[in-house]
Amino acid sequence: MIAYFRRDFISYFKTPIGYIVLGIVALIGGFYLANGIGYGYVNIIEEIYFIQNTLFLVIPLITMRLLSEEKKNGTDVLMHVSPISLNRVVIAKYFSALALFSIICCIIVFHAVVAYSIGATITADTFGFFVSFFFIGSVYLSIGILASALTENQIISAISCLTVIFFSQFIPVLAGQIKSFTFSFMSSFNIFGLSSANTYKIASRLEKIILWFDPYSKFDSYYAGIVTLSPIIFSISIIFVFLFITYRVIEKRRWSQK
Amino acid sequence: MIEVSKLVKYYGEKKAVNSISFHVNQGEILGFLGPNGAGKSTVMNILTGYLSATSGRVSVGGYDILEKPLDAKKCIGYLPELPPLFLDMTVSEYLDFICRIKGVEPKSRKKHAANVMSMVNILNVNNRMIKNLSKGYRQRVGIAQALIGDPPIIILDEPTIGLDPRQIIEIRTLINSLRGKRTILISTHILTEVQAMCDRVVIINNGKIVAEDTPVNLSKRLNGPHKIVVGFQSDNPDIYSFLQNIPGINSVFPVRNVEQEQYFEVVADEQSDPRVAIFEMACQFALPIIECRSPELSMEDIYLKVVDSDPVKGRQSK
Repeated sequence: MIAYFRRDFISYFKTPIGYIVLGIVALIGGFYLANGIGYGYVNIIEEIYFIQNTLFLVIPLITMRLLSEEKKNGTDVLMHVSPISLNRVVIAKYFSALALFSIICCIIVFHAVVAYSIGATITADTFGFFVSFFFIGSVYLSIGILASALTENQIISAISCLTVIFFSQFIPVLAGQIKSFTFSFMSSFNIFGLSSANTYKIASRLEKIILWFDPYSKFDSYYAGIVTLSPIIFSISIIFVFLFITYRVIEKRRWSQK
Repeated sequence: MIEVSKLVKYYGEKKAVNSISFHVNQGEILGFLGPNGAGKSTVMNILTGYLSATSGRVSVGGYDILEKPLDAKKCIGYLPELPPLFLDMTVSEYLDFICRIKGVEPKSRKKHAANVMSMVNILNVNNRMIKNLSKGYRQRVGIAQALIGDPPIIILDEPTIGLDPRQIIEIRTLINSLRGKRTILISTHILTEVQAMCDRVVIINNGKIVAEDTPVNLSKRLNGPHKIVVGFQSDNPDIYSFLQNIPGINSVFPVRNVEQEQYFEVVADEQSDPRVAIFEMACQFALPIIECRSPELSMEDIYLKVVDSDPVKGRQSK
């Protein structure tokens, strides 16, 4: 497991990907910090928020080649024929991506330390934003690794991961739209003969179900500086689910009859 | 060491492997032959756990590949058709990685990798990136990764493909040096290689085994044990009829007739050996015998005979 972790992590820096990812984040973060210093007001939360909005580009770059390239180059044979279990390989690959993402987090921490040293205040909500950033990024990485397992083309892997992450940022908007569409559709055609109040209830339930998948809303309390355990458990559970699906996707190829 | 029983693999509607059964004994070198698309690589992939079979049983080193996959995989060193190489690594980094995933002791990793590199003669490129290596070197790095961890069973899918004649001889020597120490299953298209290296041959066509024996026995069997080529130094035109009159001889075919030398192919009954009778006839008519041999088939002849006589292929070609 450590062998795969080591190999994949080192390979980020043997290709330009590691440098590009860290470069993007360092540039954006550095721009915010320098700008803040220039105006005499540094806000790390704003920096985290902006970097978080670039995750839909950064995460696919990190994960796109993890499994797709193995399949394309035929090195996936090693995962199957070596005396090492496949689930450990998937975990090792995930952790190598997480390690690179952790360096991104270290850049933010470094900026926070610099900001603190020149007199900026680091409050509990800054900490909350940082923790939510780390866990949301970790969830996105697991989505990226699944996208990478589904295809042997890095570009397709990156685009599918990018699409999922991009739309996940608009889950509240989508949920609202679906709610109003469901309500108007059911009211117009009078499906099931429900009253207007009941139709509204159903549409609201549907909205709630969709909102459950919104990772950002889980961390609402963190943005107010209140740290609770449930968002972390939610994130770890989602990561586990995606990694398990990834494992099953790779395992399924062995049983393929096509 | 390897037991394959009633192995079946479907790709959609196509039966790529059709109830194949064979075994490889400990220390044996088994050649796996067959035309492209015969199912050789599929069988090898199933043996190593890369693919799963639709039905049938595979046991490697005494372990069932489905029930105890990790134990079975510990026994195998596998070189697939496309060597599984990480192009962004140097040769030593790559072999160190293979040592790690195969569980080679940390203390002996460097020494073991160096030993394997010297066996396949790649020590001179150990610090070069794999992407910058020629096809021949890449193939040898692939063979090196199969040898890492000293697995008792080595499965090589066309190991000499892309190598120059000198490298082919080196690899052949290497495989011969492992004779008796490792169990080797090797698939190749170079038939002289099979003749030079393999103790036994399995020929597969359209997913079925069409022949399985030692190269010598296969040659005898396909030739028929009763075929003899006999040459006389004489221009006597009656030799043909003399041979035909020998009891036990079924048919005689003139092979060559050059400058007072006449050669005939003689096919005898299954029970009789006509050599003594031919000698006596030659003495009687004062015909000097200059050659008397059983025409041995080359591996190419065996391969073509077996594959061409396969009824499935025959049907397809119609």
